[in-house]
Amino acid sequence: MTTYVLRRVAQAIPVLFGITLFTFLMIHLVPGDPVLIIAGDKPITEERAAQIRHQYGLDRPLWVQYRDYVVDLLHGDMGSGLHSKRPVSDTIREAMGPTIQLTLAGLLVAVSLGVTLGILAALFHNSWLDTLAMVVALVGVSMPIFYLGLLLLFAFSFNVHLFPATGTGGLKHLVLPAIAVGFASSAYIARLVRSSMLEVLRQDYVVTARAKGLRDRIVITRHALKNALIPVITFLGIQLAGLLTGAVVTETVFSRPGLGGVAVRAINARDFPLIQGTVLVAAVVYVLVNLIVDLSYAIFDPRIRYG
Amino acid sequence: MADLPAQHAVTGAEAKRAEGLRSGQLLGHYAKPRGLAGDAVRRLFRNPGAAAGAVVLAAMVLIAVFAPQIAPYDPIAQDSQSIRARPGREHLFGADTFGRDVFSRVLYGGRKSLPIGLVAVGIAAIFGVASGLIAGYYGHWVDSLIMRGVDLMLAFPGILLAMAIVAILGSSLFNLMLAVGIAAIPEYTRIVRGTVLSTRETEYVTAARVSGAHDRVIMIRHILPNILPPIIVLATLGIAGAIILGSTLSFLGLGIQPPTPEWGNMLSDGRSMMRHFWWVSFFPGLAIMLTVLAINLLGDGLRDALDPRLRNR
Repeated sequence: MTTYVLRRVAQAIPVLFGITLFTFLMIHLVPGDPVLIIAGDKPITEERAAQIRHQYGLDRPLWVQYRDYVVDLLHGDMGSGLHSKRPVSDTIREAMGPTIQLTLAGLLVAVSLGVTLGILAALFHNSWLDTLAMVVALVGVSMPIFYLGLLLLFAFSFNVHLFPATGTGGLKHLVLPAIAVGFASSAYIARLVRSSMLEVLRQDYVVTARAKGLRDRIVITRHALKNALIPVITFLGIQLAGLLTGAVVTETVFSRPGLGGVAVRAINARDFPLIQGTVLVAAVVYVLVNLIVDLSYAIFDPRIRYG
Repeated sequence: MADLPAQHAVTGAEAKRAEGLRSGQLLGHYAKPRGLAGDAVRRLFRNPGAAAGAVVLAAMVLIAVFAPQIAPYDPIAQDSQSIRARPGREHLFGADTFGRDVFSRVLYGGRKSLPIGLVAVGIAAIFGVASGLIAGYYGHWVDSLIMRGVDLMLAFPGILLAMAIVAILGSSLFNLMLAVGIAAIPEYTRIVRGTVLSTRETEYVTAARVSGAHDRVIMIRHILPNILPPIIVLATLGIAGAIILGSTLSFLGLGIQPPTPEWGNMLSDGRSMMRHFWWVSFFPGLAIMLTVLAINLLGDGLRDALDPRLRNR
């Protein structure tokens, strides 16, 4: 177990460094002189250019710049926005909360809806319920999140005034965006639970449990479901990326504050310190979440621990 | 085991028959034996979902190609008389804030969204297959190097990587294709590498190596054809993903810029008027959904049709 944990953590470290290298290089990969970007793409005098170059350390060798960048990062310093002059870390910290909240709410929708649909489809295999669940899953997989978000808005906010259309606040503001974020994932989870459940229901231990006269409900919840859900847990790590992506897009649809809005505005304004910060934070969060998910498999699946 | 002859190497006559099946001429005349490809095509079209997907997709492609001939209006012409006109006889799908015909714009939108999907998948497949082949075939440090690169790319959720690339290169049709394509490369690399690892040890590869074939020849002529089925499935489903990602970037204002019609930016145009003028966003969204649904159905059907374990069903 310890070896597995250590090995998995050791694998993540070079990736984290790779991420910092990529975000660091971003501004240098842009065609043209980085100084012009920092100056806001306006023509500037040679003196001003030299001043900016010195201020941002662009006159030093690339590896020195990278070293300074990483050292600053370790101190929590990601520079300041080119336009707002606010520390990037402050802007991102503010935006993180709503995005994480929405991602988790989406996860909740995805798991509860997906597992329910999947179990129903498996238990009533080849019935109309099975077909319906799989059609819903297919539509869910094919529906762009922003389209689903708009349709939800139209149906439940504009026509039937059940939920507020925009903004943040109580739970009511979270319902529609969470459905938009979680629906596609729930479709994948439903397909997975269905096939995994069908597989498990054929296993000897389920037949044994049935044979010794246990009630259906007990067999399904205690014996079948527990084993059928293992692949789902594995899958959640992959789905978190989709959910995070979905949250970023959904924020725009529902005009919610969050990382998505920050990233889009930063890219449109070519505010590179802010772009670099957002990309960095999102990627690091994503890697850490995947690490935690991987480590949690070891708890659920002993084969990994000893493998 | 009535299909036993089909298991043999494809003879000239069989290949011709498979060709006939593929073009549909001989369908129904020859029951068996069949070549591998013909068999896959036959099974694909026996699957009602996949057949429906293929038909819808073909219709979408035709509509996009012949949009200038079909469209009743110029997609960017503004008409002050029909601002926000409801869907009706004048404007089938209504008109937007500038009085532009939504139906014509949806038809033209496919001319951007579909190529974005195709070209992006082309980029992803070419680089992904090449890197996967090289990593899996050579192994050792080459493999480690490529796979560490893949790990790094996978550290960025697809849309984030695409957004970063658009931020670096700026938004244009080609950069959008490039961004969406690059974001999808790691998937191909991983699948191809995994398949190559198991194929590398087969007898026909050893035979080719012993007979003195060049590494490149072994990879392209001997290994690649044998690992094509999973790549075809991945690429087909990948077009759906690429169309969604491309239209998402346009929806966020980072892709195709208005007034050029593209499904994603049309949705974004109508977003603020959804309450009263729903048709401006509804129809382009429907177009994306139908296209993606059709591709998913076709892709799922292909997966089953190309799976040798499901043959002879």
